[in-house]
Amino acid sequence: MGNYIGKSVKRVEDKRFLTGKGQYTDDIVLHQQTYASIVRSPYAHANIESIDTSAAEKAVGVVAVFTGKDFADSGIAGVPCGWQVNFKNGDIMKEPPHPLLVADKVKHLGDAVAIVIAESKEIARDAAELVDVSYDVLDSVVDPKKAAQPGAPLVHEDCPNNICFDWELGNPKSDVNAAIEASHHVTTLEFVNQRVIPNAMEPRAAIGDYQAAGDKYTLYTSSQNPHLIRLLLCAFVLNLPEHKVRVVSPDVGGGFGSKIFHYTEEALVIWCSKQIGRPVKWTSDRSEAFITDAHGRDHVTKADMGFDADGKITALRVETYANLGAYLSTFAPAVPTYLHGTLLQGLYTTPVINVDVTAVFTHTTAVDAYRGAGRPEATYLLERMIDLAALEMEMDPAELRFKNFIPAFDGVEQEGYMTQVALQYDSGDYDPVLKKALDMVGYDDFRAKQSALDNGKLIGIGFSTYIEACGIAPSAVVGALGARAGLFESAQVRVQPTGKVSVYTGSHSHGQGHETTFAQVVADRMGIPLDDVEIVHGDSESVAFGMGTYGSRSLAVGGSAIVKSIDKVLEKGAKIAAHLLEANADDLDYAGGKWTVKGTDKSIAFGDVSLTAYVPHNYPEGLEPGLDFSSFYDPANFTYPFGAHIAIVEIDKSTGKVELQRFIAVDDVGNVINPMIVDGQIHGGLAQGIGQALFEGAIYDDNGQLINGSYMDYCMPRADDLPSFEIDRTVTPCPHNPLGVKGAGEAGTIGSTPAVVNAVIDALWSGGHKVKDVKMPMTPERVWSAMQSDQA
Amino acid sequence: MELKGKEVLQATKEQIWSLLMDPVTLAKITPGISRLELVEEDVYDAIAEIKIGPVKGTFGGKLRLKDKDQPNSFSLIVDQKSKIGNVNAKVDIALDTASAYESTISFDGKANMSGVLASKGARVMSGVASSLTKQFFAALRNEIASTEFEDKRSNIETDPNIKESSNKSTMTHDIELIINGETHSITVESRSVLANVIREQLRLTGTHIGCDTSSCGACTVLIDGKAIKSCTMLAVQAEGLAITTVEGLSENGMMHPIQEGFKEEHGLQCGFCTPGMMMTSIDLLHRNSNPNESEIREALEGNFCRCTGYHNIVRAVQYAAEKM
Repeated sequence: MGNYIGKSVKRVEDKRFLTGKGQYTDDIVLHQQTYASIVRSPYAHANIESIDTSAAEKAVGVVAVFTGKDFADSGIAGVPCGWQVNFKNGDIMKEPPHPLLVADKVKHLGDAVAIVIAESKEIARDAAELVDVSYDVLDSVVDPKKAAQPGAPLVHEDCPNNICFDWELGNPKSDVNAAIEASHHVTTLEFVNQRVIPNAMEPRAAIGDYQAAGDKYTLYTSSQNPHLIRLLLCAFVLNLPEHKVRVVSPDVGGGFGSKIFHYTEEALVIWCSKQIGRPVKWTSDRSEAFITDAHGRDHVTKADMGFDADGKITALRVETYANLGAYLSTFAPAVPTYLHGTLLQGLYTTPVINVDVTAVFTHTTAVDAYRGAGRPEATYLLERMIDLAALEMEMDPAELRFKNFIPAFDGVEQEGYMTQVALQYDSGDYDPVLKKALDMVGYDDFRAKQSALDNGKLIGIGFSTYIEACGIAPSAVVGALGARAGLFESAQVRVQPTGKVSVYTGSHSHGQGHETTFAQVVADRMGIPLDDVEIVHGDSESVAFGMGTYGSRSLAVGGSAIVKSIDKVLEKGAKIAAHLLEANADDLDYAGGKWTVKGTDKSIAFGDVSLTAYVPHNYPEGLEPGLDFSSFYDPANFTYPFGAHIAIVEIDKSTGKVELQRFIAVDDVGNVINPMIVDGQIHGGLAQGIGQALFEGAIYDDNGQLINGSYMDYCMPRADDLPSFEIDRTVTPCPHNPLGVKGAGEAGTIGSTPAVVNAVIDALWSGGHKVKDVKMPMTPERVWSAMQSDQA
Repeated sequence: MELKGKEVLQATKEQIWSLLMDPVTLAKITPGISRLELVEEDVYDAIAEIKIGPVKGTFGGKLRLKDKDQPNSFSLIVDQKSKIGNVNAKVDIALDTASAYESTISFDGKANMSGVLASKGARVMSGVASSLTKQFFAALRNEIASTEFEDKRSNIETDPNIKESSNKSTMTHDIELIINGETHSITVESRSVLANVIREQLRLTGTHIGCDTSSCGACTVLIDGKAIKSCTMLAVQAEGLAITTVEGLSENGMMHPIQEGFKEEHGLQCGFCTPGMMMTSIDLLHRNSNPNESEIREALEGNFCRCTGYHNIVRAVQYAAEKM
């Protein structure tokens, strides 16, 4: 390896952010730009009786007002869903339309009914308040299990019992039932994996700009995948000519999944811009973000895990009700199914598994992928069950895990591990991560301290050993599972005549540091200085195509596409070098930025070859000029990072307040290009996973009102809520991509939540409170109540 | 001394006109007036007591209304004498329609002073004028609010081409904002928050807006060295104070130690919270040059970061503390 890979190179993108020169969508002001404000439903479920826009239209500075009626004869049905899951009986899932503006019946708090466009954002907001909507309020339902009962208020009239689909994966239920019944011990847990709100710090924004002269549309949007938005916008929503549409995602202030999806506002600003002939900007405020950004999680689950007398897992049975919200967001159907059910093997040799999922509409904001997407739900389930089983069987939770781990396999000498739930793991070596984490925490000392404690406090330790599927995904595989898109990635490596290199990647960076990590890969592989490499992303006009960034896929898939293009550049470069050196291309070595004839000191530098490619006077016969290659990389498999997380908590017996004292994470994300950036990804992931355990959770009342829809009410972790993290890693390379990388973006979130909850349960048991569950977020009130209700 | 300005009032032009032409009302709303008497058509005898900085005086003389064009415009001629000097002024006043029930009143004129007033009072005169103007319009607003007007027709009824205004508070102010050492003379709405003015009017977009409850800290700037959430301060409140935004941190291309710290310790990912985080950190380091981890975490608890888990931000602040 060269000078850069494996080193904590400081980020090249930092300077613009540190000097206030980042450019987020709301920072852009176009000539003649107008501002949009959206009139949203204050009710979760209501018939719209009338909309009077006359006062708003008359207001000074208002340019236009549109309502759902304006789309009535347009043929524009709304935004589509990108993943199809079928009912168990083979029927296609229920796929109700998601209109850009609702004309007849609103289905969740914040549903859009009108858009007001004005000369300033203040005027637009003031005028939006003049739009007079008369509603007939109807009963609503917010809980997925209640929504699926006969007689519950219907979200969509043609969707009986609000069920979008039911779905099953794994071994036959009869086999699993039999195995559970035959088990020595069965651990049963009913729990809620509560709804959380992603809350990227930059609220979503979009600018639509239609230029009639060239019949050209430009959309600026805070998205994780501009090309995907363009495809959906053109082909499924507005029926626009794709070659006339440019989508730009400039700097994006965090995504965490919530900016993957194609939102109605993106189509609205483009459509409105064409109507009024001027650019239209919409910027969400935080209150709007709380009720319109897709939410995450929201599963209600019952699970049974069987064990034999030795503690070996014999079977796992899972029934989940997954809340989809009022509409199907872009990837919503995939989350509780192929990103959740398929991960229920975990790190364990469980011989039979059955998972049964009922996906349900409710009168709430749509639920879709949020950092981890399905995998946190699977991990939470497995890791809660294992720790609870250990307590119930009076076994050591670490020992119980070692007993059940799948033995090591590298995916090269040994085959990948075939699970009971459709996936084949690529490579794994699970003992070392837990052993390392136990060493770091000082496990033996902890237990001694725990039993000796006598200060009005309880302390507890919680474990989580997780696996996840990243590098999403082999197109043919996901296509067979219902994806309506391929999930490859593209990259173009353009060598300029002077030997400088521009790389155009379809991955999108919104904090991940691609401009640095990708440049490290390019500089090392090409043997050139890092400063000679520029990474370009986020603009459909410069980047040929891209599937974007989510599912911890950027380096594993996008990075692999870059490597493919580099290989092509070097292969052609070798032909030119061979010609100039009067040697055979096979006799050349490439290293340190030059080609050398083997065994000689005859060499030619990369820059000389690139110049020759563009000034081809003395040039190989029949070879095209130029040095510029594109590649598309479709992965052979998912990648499977894994790790062990340990939390130590202290509970104040008099108040129930939980203090997270230590958090240890040992993650294996395959090869690491930039350790500093990978560590940063882990830190951020941990904070979000810990946030779900201790602080965060959307609360809807029975009328479908989000009663904690602001930062005053929704508790996100702050600096003084968290400890410094103690992290380390092991390295098990991915056997099927050229860099051997697995992905690090979601690991922290996936592993951490159950570790914290398990630690609280462990602390409670150590104090004699043998509760099975404390609902997340584990507020002081809930923990205190748990100590009162069970004084065993 | 120039007198110039524009205000929006919640009344029709006819209604405002009727108030301004009524001597009783005019005496009530004009600051300092102790007597106002109509002596002939459009000519008043006026006595006013006014304290200006170090000098105080009782003024007597005439007020005249000229060039009346009901209900659109008139000129006010002031000719006042006192022991401390004389004031002569001519101000053109114009009424315009803003919307159905809103009108603008603009004034434009010149005042000349003589005597002690000119020598001792001149340096504060512009402040006095703006203060008196504010008092005058505040009183006029009160008068409008408490008056049952006879003429209830809206501006729209007198001029059907007029649109209804949605704008509830379009009163504007000419202010000077000192940002990163540079003075900007701008006109802002009364209700404009500093964050919006910095971003939208001055186009310094490094200051971000992440919430609407002053909870997230993305908009934090330094005002006279203190970290302030600029989304919770009106722009007019910041007049004359020294404001530093992220764009003003580097000097001569050299990064501030806190910028270096964030880069060296990987204290930022998406960069959205970063400007606010750095401002809050600088405030902390001014108060406490060597904070420990828990002091740093406590100081930063008003700033959200969703990317870093705060781990490396703590290190970034420690790095800066070493360098500062």
